[in-house]
Amino acid sequence: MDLSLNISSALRLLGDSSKTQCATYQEVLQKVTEDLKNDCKAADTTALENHVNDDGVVIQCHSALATLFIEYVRGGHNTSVLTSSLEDLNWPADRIAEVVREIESCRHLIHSRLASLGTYPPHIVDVDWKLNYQVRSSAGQEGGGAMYLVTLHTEESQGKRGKVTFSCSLAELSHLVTRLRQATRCIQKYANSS
Amino acid sequence: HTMVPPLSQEHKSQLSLLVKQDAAVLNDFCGLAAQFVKHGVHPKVFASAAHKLGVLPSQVEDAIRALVFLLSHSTQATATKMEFQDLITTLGFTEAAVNVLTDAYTDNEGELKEYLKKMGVQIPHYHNLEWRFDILVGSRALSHIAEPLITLQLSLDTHTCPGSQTNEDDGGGKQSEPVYDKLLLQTDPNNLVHMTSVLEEALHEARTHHSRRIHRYIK
Repeated sequence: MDLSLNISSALRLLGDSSKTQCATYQEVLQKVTEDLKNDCKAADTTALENHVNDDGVVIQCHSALATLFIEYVRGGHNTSVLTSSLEDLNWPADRIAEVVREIESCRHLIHSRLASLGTYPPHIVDVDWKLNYQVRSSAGQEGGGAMYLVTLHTEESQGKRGKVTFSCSLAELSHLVTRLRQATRCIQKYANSS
Repeated sequence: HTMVPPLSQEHKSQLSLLVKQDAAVLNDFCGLAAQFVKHGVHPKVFASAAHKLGVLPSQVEDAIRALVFLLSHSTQATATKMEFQDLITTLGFTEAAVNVLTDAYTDNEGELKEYLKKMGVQIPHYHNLEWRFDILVGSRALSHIAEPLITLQLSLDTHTCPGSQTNEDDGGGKQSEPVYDKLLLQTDPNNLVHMTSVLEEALHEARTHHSRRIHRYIK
């Protein structure tokens, strides 16, 4: 794993049982796991600032460990890579095992958070529809026939939600569904053959 | 039978320019009104007509818009030929002019109905869907992944309405092509399957007994 010098030295410090007490180490590990599991924006380091005499070292260890967690998931690494990286930083086996356990427990969550970053087209997550029969309009039209109103619910980066609404006739909806079925068949074929 | 709502003072004053004209000029104006309704009129046309008549281009534009209003609202109220003739006679048009205008009214019935549709409640209308199946292998935020993705291009007709166009043809050219909004969307296999099944349900709804009964009732 590719970690900067600052991160590496902070991690080295964190893993060193002679320099970092077990209690402190546990506190940092807990905080990182908690922060990454909850909304990262709400993370605050005031709890860690209780360690007044250390010139912010504990906070540095916290951010280094958090970086480790995120880099691990971002790079799609496996546990053996993580283990050897921490061994290179002189971590004792028990601390390594704990970190591996915690990372794997929140890996999925970190992965989906990372996936929602960046730019991508609106991602369709749901569909609503309505079937109307048009009786009359102010434009003097009568008997417009069956008209569907379809709304696609989308999700964009940073959790923004959007909607795309359009109308279509029965024939047009058939066209749309045919296209979607084609795409579905293609994916199923691919999934079955691979 | 519904009466054509009386025209406002503003409309009447805008039409007064036309009341003064002879039947031939009025015929030209009817032609312009028909064009306006179909695909708009280039501002150059207003200017040249204004020049010939010795008035401002804005007066020509107002007159044409008022004429379109007169024709379309009469269509909307399904006014008969006689009702239409009575109305324009009260505006002060001569008998020859009344004939010209009435011809314009009846000749352009189809186009006027289309125009009214465009002016009515408009929701973007489905035109087409193209799809593409991709595998996302990495991004800045995540590397070494293999995420199946379906990219969709949804084309919708957003009914750009006619009116004064700024395209470069001189207003006498071809019917303008509808402008389609092409939306780029994406989804994943699970949501694709979900979307497909929900919309298949929607198709079934129109084919039910209940639906067909309503359809017959409305007809």
